[in-house]
This record gives sequence, C-alpha cells and structure tokens, in this order.
Amino acid sequence: MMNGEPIGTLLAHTLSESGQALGPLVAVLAIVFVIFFRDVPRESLWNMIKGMIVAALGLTIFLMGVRIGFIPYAEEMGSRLITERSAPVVIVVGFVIGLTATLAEPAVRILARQVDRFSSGYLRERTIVLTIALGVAVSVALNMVRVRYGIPLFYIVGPGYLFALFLVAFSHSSFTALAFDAGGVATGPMAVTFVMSLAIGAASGMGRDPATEGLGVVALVAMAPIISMLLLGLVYKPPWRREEHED
Amino acid sequence: MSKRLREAFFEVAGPVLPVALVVVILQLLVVRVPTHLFMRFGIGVVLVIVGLFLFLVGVRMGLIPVGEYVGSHLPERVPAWMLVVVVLILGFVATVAEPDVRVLSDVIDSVSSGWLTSSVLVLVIGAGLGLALAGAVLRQILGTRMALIFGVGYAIVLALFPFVDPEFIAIALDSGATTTGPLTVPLIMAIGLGVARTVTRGSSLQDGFGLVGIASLGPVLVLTIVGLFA
Repeated sequence: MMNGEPIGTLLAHTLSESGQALGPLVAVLAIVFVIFFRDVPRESLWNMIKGMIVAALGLTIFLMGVRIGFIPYAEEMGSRLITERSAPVVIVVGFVIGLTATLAEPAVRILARQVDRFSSGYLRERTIVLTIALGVAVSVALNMVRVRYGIPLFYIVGPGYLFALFLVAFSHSSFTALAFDAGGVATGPMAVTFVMSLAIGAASGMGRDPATEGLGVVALVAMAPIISMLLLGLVYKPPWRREEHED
Repeated sequence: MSKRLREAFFEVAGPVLPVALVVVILQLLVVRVPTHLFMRFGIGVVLVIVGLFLFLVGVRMGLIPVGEYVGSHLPERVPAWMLVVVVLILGFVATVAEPDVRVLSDVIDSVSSGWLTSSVLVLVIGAGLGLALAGAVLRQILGTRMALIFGVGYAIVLALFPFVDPEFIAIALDSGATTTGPLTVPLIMAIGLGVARTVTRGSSLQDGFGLVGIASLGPVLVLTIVGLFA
C-alpha cells in the first residue's frame, strides 16, 4: 500500500489526515455547546481542545503502526498461509485468530457485563463472551474456506441474514436488539486491521481479485455473533420474557 | 486519573497482545514470513498500542464527556426535529474521526478500482451512520418496534444485492461492520440513553440496546444504494 513512501512523507501525510479526521467533530461539538449550553464553564471547552491534540497524536501513531507493520505483514502471511499449507491448517489458524481477537476485545466484555447485570446474572458474562467469540472464530475460519474455494460472499451472507431474520421472528425483542449489538462490538481494530489484511493477502495468494474475494471478512465477523446470540436466546428463555410486555 | 490511564492501557493492549502472541507462534511453527516484515510487525504492535492508547485517553479526556453531556441534556432543551438534525450531524462527524473507518477505507482504496477513493468512502460511511442514528432517534420518539427496523432494513439490503456489483456488496457489509468503534459507540450510547430518558416514557434500558445495531445498518443501506448506480 504505502511501502514505497519514505517515513517522513508518510508521517506528514498521516498527521494531516488525523487533523482532518478529528477537526469536524470538535467543530460541531463546539458549535452545539456555544448555541445550546452557554451556561457550561469554559473549562470543558479547554479540556476538549487538549484532548483533541492528544487524540490526533494517538490516531497518527496508530495509523503509522498499521501502515508500516500490520498491513504488509498480515497480507504476506495470508498469501503464504493459503498457498503453502493444507486447508485444515488454514481453517484452524483462522479459527484461533478469530477466537483470540474477540475473547480479549473490551467492547465485547462491556456488552456482556451489561447483559449480565440486565438479566440479574441469569445470563453470565462468560457465556455471552464465549458465544460472541465462537461466532467470530467460525466466521474467520469460514472466510478462509471462502477465499480458498472462491465462494461468492453473497452465498454466505444472503442465507446467513435470512436465517438471522428467521430467528428474529422467534426471539424476544430485547434479545434481538442485543444480538445485533453483539455484531457491532465484535469488529474492533484488530478485526479490521489484521484479519482483513490476512484475508486480502490470502485472496491475492490464490490469484483471485482481492476486491471481490478478499473484502467481506469484516461483514462475516459482524454477522456470525448475531446468529450465535439469537441461537443462545432460543436456548435460554430469559426470565424477562414473562415480566415485560411488548409496547 | 492513573486508574483511568491503566484501564485505557489494558483496553488497548488486551486485544492486541494475544493476537501478537498467536502471530509469533504462527511465524515460528506454521508460516515463515521474511524477517524484515516480521520486524516491521513488531514495530507496528508497539505503535498501534501507543497510538490507540493516546487516542482513547485524548478522546475520553475531551470529547466523550462533552458528547455525553450533549447527548443527555440536549433532548430536554430542543424540539424533537432539531434533535434529529443535530444527531445526524454528530453521527457523521464522529464516524469521520473513527480509527477503524480510516483503516477500512484505506484498505478498500488499495484493492478496489475506480472512483471510490478512501476520502469519498469515509464521507459516504459517515452519511450512512448519521442517517441511521437520526432514524434511530426518530424510532424512539415514534415508538416503532426494533425488530421491524432490522427486518425492513436488512430485507431491503438483501433484495437489492442481486442487482449490485459483488465488489460493492463486500464493501457495503464491511463498512457497516466497522463504523462502530471506540469513538462512536460511547457517543451513540450516550445519545440513545439520553433520548430514551427524556422523550420516551418506556423502559429506557430496552431502548438503549439496539442503537449500535441500527448504526451499523445505515452505512450498509447507503452503500448498497450507491452500488446500484456504480
């Protein structure tokens, strides 16, 4: 991607990108504050500016790390993995990477803890985290199969979401909302940077078009927890089922 | 403060280090990637942890308290239509600043051909999330059922897919999945709970869940529709 570019140019480029990324958010929040919240101390606005400078610096360093290290390495690994190793090995590697990335993902834990509390401990935090992580692990492994045999993304995503919608019909509305949230929290920075580059590398290693065959893994990562959570919802009939009424 | 710093560090290092460990094991046992790339991966791990850490600290110090304040107090100060407009704009600018979205559009730009450059993609994803968030607030005000929104939304997407370029299907679904990250999720949750508390008299917990899901649906819908004309 940006391999040929010297570090200095890459740094300057990335810095200005970070500024462009955070600038509009700060501007809008400042405007909203000035119009609707005149009574709030100026101190918060100061904090906002200081925070923004730190955040912009962090975003720059993060993007540099992704571009210098993560993307080139993951693409090369994906390409070698799929051409040099047998299908079962590739599937196991995908499963392990998906599982590790999700088990440690803080957003998943936060959601699981909320559910634990919301259901007064009936649905344990660990059960939720494992359900989401297994969903992600299966989806990353499945994507390796998809890339290896050139199965179109739609053949997996189409039936997948139809199945999810079918399950929604039998699920309590709280669980529906929860399941779709689980799909959103599973895709953290690791999924996007590492898992995606791995898939793109694998697709180009197989000599396929990286745009149509390599992309799509994040979509699968987001879809699998929806299905696994809805299935969990069918197993665990939540106690709030009888108490709450539909509006 | 130091407790919050430690929390932010573990939050960042938590998902990165285990994967890095798996990578080291793979490098030793399964695939040998050239050493210079492996070294660059090592440098990348350090930069990613430091960078995300600073980003989180900065965002939590400055942006999220302000966002939460706006989210929880704006609904009681402005009429409903203006709330929907502000939420639309906030959703847009927050997505533009989201690290995941940056990386995703970068990667897509590098593999896909044509006019969909990374800056255009960021803007389209932002618009999709803004619209979805505004729709979600509208849903809370009107009291439409959540399952109906997901059902209709994904049904439209599935119905359109056969007419859309396969490359665009992948881009649309990937984008929807990444919009929700360390910056957008706290903002979205704050706004959702704030609206739930003031506008609806229903169970606010139930209304707070599902917002993140609706937010992911927005970019998928918008990009699928864009894909129809591409």
